[in-house]
Amino acid sequence: MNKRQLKALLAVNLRLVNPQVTDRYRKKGKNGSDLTRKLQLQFFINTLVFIFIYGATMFSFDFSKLPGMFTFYVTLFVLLALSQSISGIYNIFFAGKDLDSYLPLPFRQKEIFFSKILIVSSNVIPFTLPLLIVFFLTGWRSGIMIPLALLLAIVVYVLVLAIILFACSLIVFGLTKTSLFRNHQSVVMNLLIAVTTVIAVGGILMMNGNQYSETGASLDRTPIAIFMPLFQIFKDAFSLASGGAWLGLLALLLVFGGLLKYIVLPHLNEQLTLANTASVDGSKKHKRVQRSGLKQILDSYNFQLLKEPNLLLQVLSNSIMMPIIFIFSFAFAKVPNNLPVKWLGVFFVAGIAFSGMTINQSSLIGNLISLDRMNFEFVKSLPISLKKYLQRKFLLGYIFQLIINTLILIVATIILKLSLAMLVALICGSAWGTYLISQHYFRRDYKLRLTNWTNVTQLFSRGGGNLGMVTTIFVSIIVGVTVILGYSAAIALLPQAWMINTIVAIIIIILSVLILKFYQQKFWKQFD
Amino acid sequence: MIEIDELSKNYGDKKALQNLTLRIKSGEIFGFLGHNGAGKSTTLKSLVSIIQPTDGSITVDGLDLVEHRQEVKGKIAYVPDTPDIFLQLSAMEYWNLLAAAYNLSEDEVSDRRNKLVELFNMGEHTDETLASFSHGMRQKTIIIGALLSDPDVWILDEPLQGLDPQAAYDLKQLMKAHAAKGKTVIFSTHNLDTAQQLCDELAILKKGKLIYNGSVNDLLAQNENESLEDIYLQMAGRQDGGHLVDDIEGDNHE
Repeated sequence: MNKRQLKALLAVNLRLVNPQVTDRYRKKGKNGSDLTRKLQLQFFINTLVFIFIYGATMFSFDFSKLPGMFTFYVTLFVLLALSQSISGIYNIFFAGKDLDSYLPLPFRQKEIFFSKILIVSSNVIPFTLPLLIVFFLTGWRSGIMIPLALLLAIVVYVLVLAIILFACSLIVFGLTKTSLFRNHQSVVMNLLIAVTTVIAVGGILMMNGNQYSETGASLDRTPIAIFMPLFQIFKDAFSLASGGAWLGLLALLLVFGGLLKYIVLPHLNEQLTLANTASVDGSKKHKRVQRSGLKQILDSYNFQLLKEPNLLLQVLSNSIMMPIIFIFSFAFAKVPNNLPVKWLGVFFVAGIAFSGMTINQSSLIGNLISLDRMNFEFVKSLPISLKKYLQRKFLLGYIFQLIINTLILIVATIILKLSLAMLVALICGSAWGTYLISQHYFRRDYKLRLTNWTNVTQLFSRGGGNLGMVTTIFVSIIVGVTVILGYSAAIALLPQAWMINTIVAIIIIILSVLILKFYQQKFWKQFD
Repeated sequence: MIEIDELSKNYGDKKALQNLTLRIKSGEIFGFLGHNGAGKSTTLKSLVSIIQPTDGSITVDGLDLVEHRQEVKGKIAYVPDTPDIFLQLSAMEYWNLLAAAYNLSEDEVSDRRNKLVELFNMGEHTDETLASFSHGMRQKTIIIGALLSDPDVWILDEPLQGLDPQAAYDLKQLMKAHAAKGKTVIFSTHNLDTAQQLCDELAILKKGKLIYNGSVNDLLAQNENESLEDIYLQMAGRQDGGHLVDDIEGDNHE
């Protein structure tokens, strides 16, 4: 492998996927290899912080006695990694608009592949770090010395991640070779990501429906057989079963690695050229459309923006799957289904909290302005009201987000068998919460707007990057759960429920007015 | 020597390029002329591996582009029609990336790079990002990058767009000097004066088909007393819009 080429490509990709952080360091005078080192260090520090946060959250679990919980967490995060890897590989290799820049250059195929797959993995790692923690905690609680348990956890984590990335590469590269893909590139990829998301979400819901079972002294979930060998590695590192698990991991790695080396890598250039050719395909028929009226044209234009290949499903996946996984992992509780009316307020607040967990920097409302690319600057030059233009955009993003949240809440209500009144309260809370939180992400998109992005990963990683996104989800869940628990405890334990509900209503009204006033002053007013 | 044989490219039903056959000799400046959509960029993008032709073959110095893609890429440097690439990189980082791509050491490129930077007056901007540059500055950055490897084949897609007169003049001098060393320069342009000034040989494309291949002088000799503009418009297809211009701007426009 040509290390110099690999390093050069990695440095470029690091800058591409961290545009805002890169700009921040540039303003401080960092350039060249100094800048690359800073970006790497930043990623490393963020990773350590996250290991600490996840570790603190999971510390109380003694996974060594809970094989069911161990396999539950492993399955959750493996599903998340699969879904993130498939969309990541497609985005970074095929959907980016930078292929034209790479293809004429004499980089070797191996270097292009590894530099890009490392960037994909840097996007997947923040979502899968809990795996590392689960591995470490299981080993440590099973009596392995801390340094050895850490080393073992890191090795197994890297192996599992590599197997997932290699398997997903084979799937994506295999698909892109088919004539079906060449003729219907975005449809095929959207379908693949949709299927992966449905399998992942379905799997999570199914697992959550799994019966708890008594294992020794603890209440555990039913173990998932396919991941039990991994449990053996940490539970009994030197047993025969553990040896079998190691062999299995290595065999999978070798098989997938070998297939990549001999089937994908030798034809990488051809495949990327072919995929690029399909993306510049001019065969689309000239479509005749007749629209008049500015509103109608702008609405139609905003809808067209959603047709950016892969974007919609990526947004859906990030808005649905990650929150669901994180909610199930860290905040799920059984809810009684015959609650009296005094609980309506709690469900309204839960709806608001739910919006906080599902809307993040990768939601449509947080990217709609940047999707305009250079059109936004052009629109500014037109004699139309920019405020009205942005308001139409905001409305579209808000409605889109509201529909997603409402659908998830309806599904959750059916699973949890909640009453209709509670569902209405949840949806009303979610509608209001979505409106308020959308203001924040819409303004954020304007402030951090990126008009020269080459793939959607760049848009999603603005600001604090993927680790920032996970932090936001995590903090939203912790804050949301704390508020709901506090409010629930007050309603359940205190006699004057109406008074508590009134106080909460007043707090919500005051906070809402303050928030709306803030965004009116700080954002919307500048366009008057 | 570049040999293009029966090169075709279809985009669905649309034939962007039809059975193009050309020979481009070393030491020659070769120009592609044609209206928008004639197939110029498709030809150049096929030469630099950005798109895959539907049919036909390309060889560079006897090496087939498909079979020896890596080696052929190493001989070619490309300046795209829009310079909006690698915008997150500073100019120096972009040049370092190209040096790594072509496996050139700092010693091998520094002298050449410094002279090019001086020629294009970029000295104060090497640590600034391409995103912060004007169109012309980006174009200059990419031209410098392309010349770092002193390529055997230099391909430029409408390279003079957005360059100031000084930079345009310098680029034309560079193209001439590069060809004079025995290397090949291939470019596309809409500017007939530029084609007349620079090209040893040119190809005129119309709707994906080659309608002329030869020298500018031969073309002028075949059509005595006519300007290159008139000859080109007759060949590539002329639409006399004079009456429409009058309608739009009034009869008294100059």
